[in-house]
Amino acid sequence: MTRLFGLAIGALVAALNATPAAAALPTPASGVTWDRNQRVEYRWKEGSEPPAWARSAMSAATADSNSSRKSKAAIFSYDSNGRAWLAYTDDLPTNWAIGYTVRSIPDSFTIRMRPHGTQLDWGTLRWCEFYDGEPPNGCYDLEMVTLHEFGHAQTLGHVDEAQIDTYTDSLMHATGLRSKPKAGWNQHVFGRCDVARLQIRYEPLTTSTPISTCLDLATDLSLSPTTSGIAYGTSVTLTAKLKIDASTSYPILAGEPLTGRSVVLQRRALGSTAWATIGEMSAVTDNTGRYVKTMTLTTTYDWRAVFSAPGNEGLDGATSSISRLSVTYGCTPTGIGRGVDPLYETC
Amino acid sequence: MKLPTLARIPVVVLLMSACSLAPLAQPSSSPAAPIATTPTATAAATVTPTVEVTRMSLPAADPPLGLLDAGDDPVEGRLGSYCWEGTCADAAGIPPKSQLPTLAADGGDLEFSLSDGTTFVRWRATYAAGANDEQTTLGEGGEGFDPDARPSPAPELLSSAAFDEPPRDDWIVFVQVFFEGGDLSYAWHVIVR
Repeated sequence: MTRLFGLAIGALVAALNATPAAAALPTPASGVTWDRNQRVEYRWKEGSEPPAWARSAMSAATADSNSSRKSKAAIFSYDSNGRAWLAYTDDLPTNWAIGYTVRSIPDSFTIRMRPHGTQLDWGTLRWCEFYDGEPPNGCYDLEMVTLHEFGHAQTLGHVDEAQIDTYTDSLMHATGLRSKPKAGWNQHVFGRCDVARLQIRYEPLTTSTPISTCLDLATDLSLSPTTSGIAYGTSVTLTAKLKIDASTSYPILAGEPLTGRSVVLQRRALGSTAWATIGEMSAVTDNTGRYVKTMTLTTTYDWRAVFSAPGNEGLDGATSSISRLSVTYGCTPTGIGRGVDPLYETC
Repeated sequence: MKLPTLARIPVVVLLMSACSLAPLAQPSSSPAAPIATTPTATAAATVTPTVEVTRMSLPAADPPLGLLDAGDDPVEGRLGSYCWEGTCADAAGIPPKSQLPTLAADGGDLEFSLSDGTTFVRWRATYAAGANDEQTTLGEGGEGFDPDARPSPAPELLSSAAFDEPPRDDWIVFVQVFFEGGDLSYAWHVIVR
């Protein structure tokens, strides 16, 4: 029965994940940020070191934060001399909280996690990782809750529970962290709108990092050369440049180059309205958002580059302006053959 | 599905200047107004210890108290998960209704405010029969605040939020508010007669 219930929950989560994600308001955040990719080292608080099973879960949450931030948010790592600290302690200034984070950017942070078995005003705290084998329902996943606290350390706040459909996969819920077997009880990655906020505040990790589907950003695509006379039979490299549109409301993302996407090259004959796809342009791996394709030109065409909105990113599609590459003869005629039809040029 | 109800337009305290919310969103240093923890003597015995422990043990940058008023004296709510001035606390649950601050209502509106006059930009009120039951929206208002977006029309700063009482019965009422520096959530045991 338990297994069937688990399967049902799994199917529900899969269904939610399969639903096309709509753009939404990113997870709230406040305060100043860490420097981009700032490495922040933490230690276990002296006298409040977690037991081995808890230490393992809390360390795993550190790795979860680093791997799922998808941005240049702070990188957390253990160092016995770290200024920040994590504690497994009952020293929390409430009689109800199970996790408690204090940010002191740019220097450090502190995270307190309540010990297993603590009696709080709502009941007894049970961490799932405490149990060997299958943990009981009602327990809280220490790795998930610690990752939630790392979210606070990264400046994330709590989501607006009125928009629960938007924030289904968020780790930053306020009204009761989710216990087993509620959907997401053991989620170990930031949700899409959590990532969106981190990308807005810290910039995506690389120019090829997928932009969160919680966002809906316009893109800008240019193509060069824009117009030119090209000698017949000459090889020409067409270069497209893709970036987040400068008009986006998030300054850190405005103008951000986008590499590793799919940009295709199209052409049409003069006087035609129909575009034909020539092929995919090759992404240049230099983080400039450039895509190239080399063509040998024998006929004059109009050219354009097209970026179709990807289903797995919060980016809109874009089409470049049209470049007309006029093919010309590459020499000056020296004479015209007579008695030959058609006429031809000789150089 | 019950649609959100705005029983009354929340009081707009100030229109933000084009430059910053910060000076207005900060808590004032003025002392909190006298508060009746519970409206009834019977509820006081069970409510007071929980509320007092929470309130007394918070650090220097205490979040403001959340007050719910049915027309008599405002009742201080049980603080839940919050982020306030760089400090975040996370609740895993709330206690039974009998241990929550109790407010007696007799049909009308409820009004939420923060103890020190702290303003907020968005709020939402819900109710449920129990802590783990599905919540129904009583009202919501204001606009979300995005600290990272380019300057846009300033949101209104609200000093209170009014909404319909739940139907006649015994409920938990939740209020979540957002402001530039974070979010706060509170709960009450509300008895509607």
